[in-house]
Amino acid sequence: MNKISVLTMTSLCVMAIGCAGHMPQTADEFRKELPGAFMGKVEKFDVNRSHTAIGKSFQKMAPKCLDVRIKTVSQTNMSYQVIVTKWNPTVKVSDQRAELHIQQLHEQGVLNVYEVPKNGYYTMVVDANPIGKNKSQVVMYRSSVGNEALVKAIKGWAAGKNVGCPDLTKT
Amino acid sequence: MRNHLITLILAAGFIPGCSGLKTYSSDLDNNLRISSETESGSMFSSVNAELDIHRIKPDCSTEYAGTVELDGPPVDVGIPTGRSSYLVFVFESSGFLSSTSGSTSYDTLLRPRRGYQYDIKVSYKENLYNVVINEIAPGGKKRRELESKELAACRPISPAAKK
Repeated sequence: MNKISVLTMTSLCVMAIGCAGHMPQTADEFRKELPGAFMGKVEKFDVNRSHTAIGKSFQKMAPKCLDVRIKTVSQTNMSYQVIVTKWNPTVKVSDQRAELHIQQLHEQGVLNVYEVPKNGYYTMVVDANPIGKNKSQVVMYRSSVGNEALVKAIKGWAAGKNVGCPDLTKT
Repeated sequence: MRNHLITLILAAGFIPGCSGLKTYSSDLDNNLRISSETESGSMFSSVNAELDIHRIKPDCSTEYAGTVELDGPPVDVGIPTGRSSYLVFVFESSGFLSSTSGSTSYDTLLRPRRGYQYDIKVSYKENLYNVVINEIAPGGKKRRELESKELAACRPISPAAKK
């Protein structure tokens, strides 16, 4: 099994809450179920920006960087594997918080064992909650493994930095 | 053996023409300067950057014009002014041992103004890629960063408007 397959299986198992057979179907379910999941991680950090400013950064960068279709090809002497994944970001900004939901819809090369939500399995949910004037607490619900570039990019966007886009072929 | 030889010769002759890529060239004055910096972050993998330039037709469909290799010193190219071109920056990564490859891209419409220069910085570092386009006014005194513009933002030009 190659690296991509292992990471894909790991991600699915994390989201499947210990491979017990259930996948979160909404962002709320993801928030509730991830903390108890194998390799689930809830990371919190403060940013000196309002949640609406963070939401604007998400609205600017997420469609550009995360609304993409990624094709990866792995080849050895014995195997040839093509995985096609459509990434689907959703940004919501309200008076209470700014949210970024990231979903992955596997279109080719991955067997979808569990029920797939409309835009794909939830990979990450990020909330920016106001905690003062021009200050927010950002909460990332994510896997503790993989997605390093994605995490780095989102932290940069939350901080208002122009860090560009993550290479989603490297998740 | 003779048949194999003919097959090989035919294949060798077709390969350069079959890739579908052609080097971009134009007689226009250079108005884009593209600098690139790529680091794969691993000795077992590499990243190549290139720019695919597409012309935009009046109905907003695209026509591939050519590719500019970006792995090297800054490159100067000329694209038409007063009309949009569609620029697609492609980052291709491949592993030496894993035989895994992938590509990701950043695209934008750009409508250069006559007399203006466009300074484009392309980077790929630590699995993050970025493209920053600055428009420089004639004389070089004023510059502003341009937002990327999706192809979907293109509006077809009606035949009546062209007259």
